[in-house]
Amino acid sequence: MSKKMIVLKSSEGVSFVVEEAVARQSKIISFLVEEFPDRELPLTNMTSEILRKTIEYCKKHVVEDDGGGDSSSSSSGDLKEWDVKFVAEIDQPRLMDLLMAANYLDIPSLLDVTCQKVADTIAACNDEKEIRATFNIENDFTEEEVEAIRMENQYPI
Amino acid sequence: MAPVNLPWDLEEKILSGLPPLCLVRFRTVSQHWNALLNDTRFLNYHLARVRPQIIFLTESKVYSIDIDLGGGGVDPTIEVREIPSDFPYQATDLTHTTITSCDGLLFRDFWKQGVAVWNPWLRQVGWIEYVDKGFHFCGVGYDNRRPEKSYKILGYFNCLRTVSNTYQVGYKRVAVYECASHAWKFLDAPFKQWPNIVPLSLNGNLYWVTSNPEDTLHQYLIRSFDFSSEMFKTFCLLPCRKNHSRDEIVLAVYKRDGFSLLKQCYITGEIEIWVTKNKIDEEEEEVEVVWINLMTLPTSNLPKLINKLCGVSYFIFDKTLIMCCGDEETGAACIYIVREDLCNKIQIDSGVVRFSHCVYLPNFISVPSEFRPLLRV
Repeated sequence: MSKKMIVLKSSEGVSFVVEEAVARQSKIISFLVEEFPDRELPLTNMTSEILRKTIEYCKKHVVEDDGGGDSSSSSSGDLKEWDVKFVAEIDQPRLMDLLMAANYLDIPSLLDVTCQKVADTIAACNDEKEIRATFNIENDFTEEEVEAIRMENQYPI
Repeated sequence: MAPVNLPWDLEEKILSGLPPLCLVRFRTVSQHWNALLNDTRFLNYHLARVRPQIIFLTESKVYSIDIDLGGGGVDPTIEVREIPSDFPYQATDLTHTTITSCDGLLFRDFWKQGVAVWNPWLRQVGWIEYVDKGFHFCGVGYDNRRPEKSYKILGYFNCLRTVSNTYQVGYKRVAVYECASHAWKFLDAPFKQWPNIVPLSLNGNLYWVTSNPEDTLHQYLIRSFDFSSEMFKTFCLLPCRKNHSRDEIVLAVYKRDGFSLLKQCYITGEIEIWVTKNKIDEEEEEVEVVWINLMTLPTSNLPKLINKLCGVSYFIFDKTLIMCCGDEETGAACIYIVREDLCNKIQIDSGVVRFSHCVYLPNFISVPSEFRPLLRV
């Protein structure tokens, strides 16, 4: 029996043909497939690059039902290592795009992995200025406020 | 860098994955990041994800030990951080001080003096001075049927009963101390099956491993003290038997609301770890506690836990046993990190052989106002 395929279309109009089981890890796609079978699904807020990455993740994490019960294609330890490598290879802006995509498509495991990677990136920053620059956060403190927090906060740093 | 505007819920999800030290250090990034440290919902979310640490006392200093499990080819590491500890009391001897945690707050008993209540992450210390210095501290909890937490301490007094004009007998009188009202309440309960180490605090109640001296089968069980009904109960039998009187059994909290049980066979040195399947909920009484054998660890490299002068504390995280106790030969404080394929032993720098320790969750919960005056250490 051939596997059922569906088509996902990126913001640039590029079509990706994906096994339904792979794409269904996204709760949104899972819902859309049931509502609109046999239709191409346009993902207008995702670039081809991010969509390709998302599909790569889903392919790795698909649980194959080969009739003999559920069996993941990889052991959980291997998967974890693969995840670490997967997010390590992505640069910061694309990581944020991927995180947003995981959130939009509702893929909880990918969201967890990308969020933790961002948290690790924050933890590795030297000071608040570096964080603000990396994540484009506006400094809405006055100097006095910062000083007051620092005073309060001498410990445990 | 590309501009990113994350929705707040995503930003909070990311920040809840930060180690507690980073959350404190990076408060000055923005008003929102700073406000999170006062946001109960966020703090609970963070608490649910944070990795336990070990609080470690030597004769004069206090440290918090963070254990990084490594993984992906990286060896585990520990970070030993000294924390300021200007307590109102002095411990005359480590054997006269006890450290325990209740819902993230640390309680340190100073024998014949009082109890310090403390959150090192907020640098807050409060204390309770014993009105009657003869009080012997046992453990801390609260009435979990009431919406607000009102902390209580279980303990006992040594008393004398006059039998005749010339003869008195000593006995122990069980008492509960209410922190908010500073009032004692004596309980009409016999002093038996009493915990011989500090009991665990979970959901406001206390739990410890003991045996029934009248039971000829020598079955071991978990006893509990319920602070809402102020009664002692037998909580459940242990999932494993003590085959040898020198087998070591240590109870710990597992994933915040369950138990783990470490049993080391005295003969083989093998360690079994059992965990409860469901969360411990005191309201559902008479529910049978289901235990799962989580793992059995290989015997090589494992220290014998019997007769550890300074006790054993541990927690299970990511299917790994993280344990603090003295070295087999020298007694120097060590952290053991053990799972199926790994047994790392890291000596705590100073090499101290007299220490006191307990597992706790780093958090930002304020010390309640009933423990006044609040000091910043």
